[in-house]
Formats: sequence, structure tokens, C-alpha cells
Amino acid sequence: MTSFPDRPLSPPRRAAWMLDRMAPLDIREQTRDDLEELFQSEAKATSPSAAGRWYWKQVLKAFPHFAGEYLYWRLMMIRNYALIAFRNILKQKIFSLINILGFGVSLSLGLLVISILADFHREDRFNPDARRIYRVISTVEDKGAVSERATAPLPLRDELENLPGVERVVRLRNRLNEDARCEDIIVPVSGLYADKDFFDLFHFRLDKGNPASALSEPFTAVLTRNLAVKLFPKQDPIGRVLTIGELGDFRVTGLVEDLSPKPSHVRFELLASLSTLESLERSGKIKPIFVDWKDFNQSYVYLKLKDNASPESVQAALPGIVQRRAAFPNLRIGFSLQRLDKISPGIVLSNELSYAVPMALVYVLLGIAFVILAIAGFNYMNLSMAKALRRGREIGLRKVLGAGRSNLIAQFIGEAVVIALLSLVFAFMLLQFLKPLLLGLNPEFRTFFRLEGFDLDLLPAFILFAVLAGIIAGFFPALYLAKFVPAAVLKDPASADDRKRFPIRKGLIVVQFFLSFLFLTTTIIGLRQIRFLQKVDCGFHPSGILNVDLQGVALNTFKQSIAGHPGIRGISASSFVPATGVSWFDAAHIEGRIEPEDVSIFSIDDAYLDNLGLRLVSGRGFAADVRGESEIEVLVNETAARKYGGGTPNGVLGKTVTFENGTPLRVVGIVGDFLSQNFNGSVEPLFIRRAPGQYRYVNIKLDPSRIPETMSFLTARWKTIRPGLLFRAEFHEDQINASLAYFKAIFGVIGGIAFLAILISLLGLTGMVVFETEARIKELGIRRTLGASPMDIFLSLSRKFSRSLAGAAVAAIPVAWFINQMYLRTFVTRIKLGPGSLLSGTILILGIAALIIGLQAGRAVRTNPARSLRNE
Amino acid sequence: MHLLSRSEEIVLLAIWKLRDNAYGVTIREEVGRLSGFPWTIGAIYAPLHRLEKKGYVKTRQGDPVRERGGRRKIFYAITEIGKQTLVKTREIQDEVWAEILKMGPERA
Repeated sequence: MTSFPDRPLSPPRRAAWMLDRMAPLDIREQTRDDLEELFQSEAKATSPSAAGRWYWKQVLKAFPHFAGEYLYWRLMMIRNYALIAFRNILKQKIFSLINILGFGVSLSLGLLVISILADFHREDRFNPDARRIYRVISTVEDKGAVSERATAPLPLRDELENLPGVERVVRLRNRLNEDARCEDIIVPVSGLYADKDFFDLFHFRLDKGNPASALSEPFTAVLTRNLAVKLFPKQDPIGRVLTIGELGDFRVTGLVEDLSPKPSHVRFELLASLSTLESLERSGKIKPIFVDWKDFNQSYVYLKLKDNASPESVQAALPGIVQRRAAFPNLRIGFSLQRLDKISPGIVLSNELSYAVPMALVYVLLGIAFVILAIAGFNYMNLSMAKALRRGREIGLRKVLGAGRSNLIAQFIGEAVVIALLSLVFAFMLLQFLKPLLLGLNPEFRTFFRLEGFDLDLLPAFILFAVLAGIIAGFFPALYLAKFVPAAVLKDPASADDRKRFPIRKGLIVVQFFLSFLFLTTTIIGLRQIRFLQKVDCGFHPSGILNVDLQGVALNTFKQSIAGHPGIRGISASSFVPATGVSWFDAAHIEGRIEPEDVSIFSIDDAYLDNLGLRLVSGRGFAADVRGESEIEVLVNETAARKYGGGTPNGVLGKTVTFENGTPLRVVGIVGDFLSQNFNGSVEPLFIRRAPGQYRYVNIKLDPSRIPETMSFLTARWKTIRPGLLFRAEFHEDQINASLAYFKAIFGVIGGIAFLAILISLLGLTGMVVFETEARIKELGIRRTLGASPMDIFLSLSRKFSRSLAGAAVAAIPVAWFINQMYLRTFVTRIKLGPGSLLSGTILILGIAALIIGLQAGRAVRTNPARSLRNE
Repeated sequence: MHLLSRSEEIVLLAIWKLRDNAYGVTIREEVGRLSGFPWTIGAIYAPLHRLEKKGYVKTRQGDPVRERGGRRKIFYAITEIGKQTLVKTREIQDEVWAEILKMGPERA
């Protein structure tokens, strides 16, 4: 065996490798070599293995020093980039201002989306057990129609409680929307029935009362603070009794804390004990529900898993439960678990407890933010590439002095990030205005998001968003600028302006204005459609009609008590209020058809047709019937007459129609088509009955000159008939308008986006035109001296932009036509898409663009050519 | 001109004192002797790196050495600015010391 006594030992390989990795590049060699030298002397003094350990220790201890060093220089670098960025921003005030404004506007929208998404995300997350609480949801397949429902049958609880992993099961039941009253105070409440362990699962605190027992006895109720103040303004509500609708008297056993800081999909003003329903079921006041496995539309079943139990084991047991207890012919039921924090935002289920934000909405919002961000990013790219001409020398010089490509890219991205962060300040202020604006569009928005507070907790997200936006916006210009060849740009700065080789910038303007045209046109058409719908002929006259909700009061009692008042011109009754989106269906056997059909039905009394001004096309109205109680006749609308008339509409007259559980009715008249349900969809075949059992509303035609007097008379009369119920009445026109609120809100949002898109695009255009004018000021001066008119100057300046704008308009108008045509088709009555609706928005934007160019042309014209030409 | 951190100051002083023979191993030895406890190599090189970047020291290559696997030593030498900075740092310290000593005994 040969040995090499002279050959030095080598230090531990892995430690040496580590050292190599972490030492800064410029001292890497000496660190390694010095340490090796020390290692050798250490090895001579002690032993090779001790020296190895010593070496390892040195390397590990070096880590914090080198890490600190790395961070130190990184920070120095970032500070430098920020400094340069600030200097450049100050040097180019107009461009910076345009960039900051444009960026700020779009960032503010991004911040708004983040705030909304954060609100969505807060839903139910305050619950510390949110990750082990699940809701059982059902999949029901009934005659081939599959639906996913948030509800599940009540008897499921007993089965779930027997499963090993389940700690607690709590059931809720909805439709506790009644008037609650205490002495002479009546308040409409929306509540839920809940099992006694409710407060164990859902972490709402009780300000008063015992959470463990508050909901254990029948006819007990827990109130929210808000409701308690309304019902018991002065006294302590605990132990007091309140009457809820026709259900009976409830004792108040608890007071829930203010719920607003704890957004949850479980929303209520009042909780009544579920055992109340058991008691009502025992006394036969309601049909049996506690053993009914087919009752899966009104109850919700929640369960909490034991600490270490897996949801899969519970999920796996669910099909077994279905097989044992809920196996029916022609009806397939499936259960599955949905975790509490996945309910909202989440998948769309029918019978949702309150609201669950659909996941699709989250994506739509993200998409909107992205589009706006893209527009702003385009702007930044556009302007900084335009600026490139001016910066050619700077970049060339930097390159000559040894700045690498990556240094330059980092510097330009740094500039964009600084701009973005400055914009963030502006955006944050703008956000505080945007929030109330958005909430004001539709009161219902508040059920989805609250947008409260100053969002300071979201600040890190905001900053991250701004930095990301800056990086994305700065990336392409950085690549472009870093590409410059120093020799070329130093010799001739204009060579940096390779507009011809870089068509993206022109493309950016086209895209920006394309989106602006599209959004504005859509907004204009949408608003026109809404205004049109507000004035549209529904086929009846809703003006002056007051619809009073009967709330179970007998029609004749109310009619008699108000009859003869001089302010009342007519009284009728109906099952619902037409043109507000409500519809009723029933199965009908129609003479000449073999199968029964589901048809729309509407119930009215004799006076309705006259009162609402409905038109009889053929036949007659209901025969006068003093008692108005026997139903023997039916009317149809024109569409139904066409469908069931067998060739001629009039053929439907005399046919018989039999509704489920009813006697045959004879068709006696055809009513002109009117808007019975909704502005969306088409007019459906409608059967107009005279079924007093279905009347829900009294329609009172008021004398317009005496409305206040009549209203107070009606309210007073109602109180004498039903002191326990609120007088609920609304004008028909208001109800129709309310059903349009959604469209208004949608077009409010689209209009807002249009406004921002236009603002950003025009800002960008301004920057480009200012730049173009500056770059060509000498040329324009020469043109002036050679006799060009101001108009020539304007045309010469606008030539470059007019083609892009015209291109955008030519592309946008057909797309706008197509999109708007698509959704307008869903309306029964709609405006025609003429050139007026399609072009006005585009012309408006083009006009402003021309004005911007004109102002700059004016500036060029006013500049004395002698001065601009002198300094060469 | 920046003030020096304490570790930078000690390393810089050691380099000045070592004259032509300042490289990692000797600097470490000298610094250890001055302060009374051994410094790890990382604790030497982090300030050394910074001093070099700030221009207070410059480097020079020596001859290849067997103990270093046949590679060259990198010697460090203090620059003119380095010396000025050290002097400035000392002046500030002296001034503060003089003022402290002039104040007399501390009153509770």
C-alpha cells in the first residue's frame, strides 16, 4: 500500500461545497483558501477528524454573517434603484402624472375587488372550528331532473349522531318569516328554527342567557340585539313574551351579540327552538316533518367532527344511511359533506340558507380587475416606450459604463414599481369614494359584502398587488429598453425610436380604445333599455295602483271596511303582482290534450280587468257572481289562445281546463297579451282564474290628487281589522321599478368600468400626443414657416392616431352589436339597436380624442418656430 | 465618509498593522489577539467584503502556497480613504471620551 505522506488532507467536501455556495462572489476564493490553510494547521495541531469538525463549525457559523451581508447589499441596490426612479419621475412630470393617475384609477378598482373578495373570504371564517364543521347537502334526482340542494331531511340527525366520528349535529329550519309583536309593537322578522346545540357549533356569543339551554324548550326564542331594541325599546327582553305570526307565544331566553363583525351564511334576526316544531307536529298543527325523509327542502343539517376524525369516514357512511332509510322508487337521493368555510364563496346550490356567493362571481371579479389592470399596464408600457427616445442616451451611457442587461431591466422595473406605489396612495383615497358608490348601486349588495372600515388589514395585500402590477407593467418596456445598442443610440438618439419595428405600441392603443368603445356602447344601450322598460307598455296601466298584501285577511272584510272612500277609484284582487318577476304554475288538463301540462296561472277577481285596464280581445270576462266564490270559468291570454286554440285563437273559447284538485273550467274569454311575469323571457301562455283562495293582494286604484289622505285612511282601517299585522302596501310602479334594480346595478357597474377605461385610455392618448408634439416641434415649426395652416398641423399630428382609433372603432362596433343583441334578446320588449345607440359612445370618445390632439396642435401652432428651431 | 462599524474598524486596524502580510489567516490571528477571543472566518470576511466594496481596502495576489492546495494568497492593504476613515473614527471617539471624562463623577 502506497501512501502519500506529503499530500495534504482535504477539508470535508460537503462543508466546502456549502461555503462555496454562500460566500459572496468577490471573496469566495480567499475565504475558501484561508479556511483551508487554517484547516491544515488545525489538522497538524490536533487530529484530522477534529480539524474536520472545526471546519464544519466555521462554515456553519459563517452563514449568518454572509446572509446579513447579502441582505445588506440587496437593500443598497434596491435603494439605488428607487433613487434613480424618483429622479426620473421628477424629471418627467407630465408623463409621471399621467402614469400615476392612470395607474391609480385602475389600481383603485383592483383594491375594490380585493376588498370585496376579502369580504367574501371572511364569511364563516371567524368560527375557530370552521374546518371541522360540515353541512350535509343533498343531490336529488327526481324523474331524471337532478338538483343539488343545500338542504337535507330532519331525521338525518339521528343517523349521523350514531356515526363514530361525529361530535355534534345541529339542524336548522327556515321560513320563519313572520311578524313578531309585543303589545302594540309589530316588527317583521326573518328567523330560523335551531336545535339546542346551535351555539356550540356556530360561534355566536350570547350577551344574555345561557347558550347551552336557551333553545332547548319549545316556544323559546333568542333575539339579536337589533331586533330586541325594536321590540322591547325600554325593558330587558329576557323572560318577556312575544307573539310570532300565527305560531304562538314565545318566551325570550337569550340575546345574541351584534352579528355584523361575524359575517356568516347563517343569518337571522331571531332563533326559535326547533322543539317548537316538534310540539306543533304533536298537536297536529303542522304536517309531520321529523320523520319525513322526503322533506328535504327546508331543513339544514350541520355536523361537527371530533378533533381527529376524518370527513371521509363520515362521507363513506352516508350512502349506507340513504340505502337503509331513504330509498324510494323514482327518486334518488345522495348526501355529501360541505365544509363550513367552503359554503360561501362556493358552488351554487338551490335552497341556500341565505346567500352563498357563487365561485363564478369571484372569477368574474378577478377577470374585471385583470382587464382594468391590463388597460393601465398598456398605458404604462405605451408611455415608457414612447419615452424611450428621450432616454436613449441615458441607457447607452449606462451600458457603456458597464451596466448589464439585467441591471437595466431591474432599474426600469424598479421605476414602474415606484410609480405603482405612488399610484397606490392615490388609489387608496379613490377607494374610499368607490366603496359607497358601489354599495349605493343596489341595497342588496350589502348582503354579499360590507366594505366597511379603512381596510388597513388589507394593506399588505394592496401593496403586494401594486408591486405586482408595477412589475408586470414595467416588464416589457424594460426588456425593450435594455435591448438598445449603445453605439447606435449614443450617435443618433432617434434610432431608439424604432417605431416601425415595434408595432406593439400601436396595438396597445387599439386594444385600449377597443375596450373603451365596447364598454361605453354597452352602457349606453343598457341604460336606454332600462329607461325604455320603465316606460314600456306592460299591456296594463299600473299607474296609481296600490297593491296591499292581504296577509291572510279575508278579502271581503277588507274590501267592505274601505269601500266608499272618495279617494278610491277601484278595488280588485289578484294572486300576485304582474311584471315583478313572480309566477305561479299549476298542472292543467286542457281539453284536446292527453297529458296534463304545467302552465302559468294568475288569479284575479271580476274587477281586476277593468281596474288594471287589461284588454279583452275576444269572448267576455268572468260572469258577475255576487258571492264570487264558485269557480266555473277561466280566461286565457292571446299566446295561450294561439297555442291551445287548434288553428284559430278563438277555437280555445268553450274548451274546458281542469287544474289539479279542481273542477272543469270553461274558457270564456281571451285577454290581450300583457307582461305577467318578468321583463326577461318571452310572454308565456297564461291561464287567468277566479280562485278566491289564491288571492294575495288587493289592488286599489287611488285618486292621484288625494293619495296622502287615502293612505292614512287605509292604514287606520287595517289597524282596526288586524292590529297584530303591519299594513304592507306598495305602488305597482315602484314594484316594477324594484324588479329592475338588478339591471340598473349591473349597468351601473359596467358604466363605472366604462368610465375608468375611457379615462385611462384618454390619459394614455394625452401622453402620446404630448410626446409626439414635443418630438416633432421642430418639424412642425418648419411646416409653419413654410405656410402650413393650423388645420394642416392638426391633421399632421392626428394622422398617426386616427388610424389606430378608427381601427378600434371598426372592430368594437360589430362586437358591441353582437354582445348587446345577445342579452337584449332575453327581454320581452327591447329597444332597437340603431346607429344612434351603437355609434354615440364611439363618437363621443373620438370627439374628446380629437379635442386632446387639437389642444396639442394649438400649442405647436403657438410656439414661435424661431425659438424651437434656434437651438440646434 | 461613513463611520465604521466596530468589526469593520478592528479588521481595518489589523490590516493596517499587518502591513504587507495581511491576508485572511493573519487578519484572523491578529483580530483574535486584539480582542481576546477567536473570530470565525465568516466574522472576518463579512466586514472585509464590505470594506473592499466601500473602497477602504484593496487586494493583491501573492505567490501560490502548498497549504492552500497550491493556490495564491489574496493580500489586503489599507487605502488612503481607509486610513482617513480610521483617523476620523478615532477623532470622534477621542472627542466623546474627552467630554465624558471632563464631566466628573456621575450624580445619581
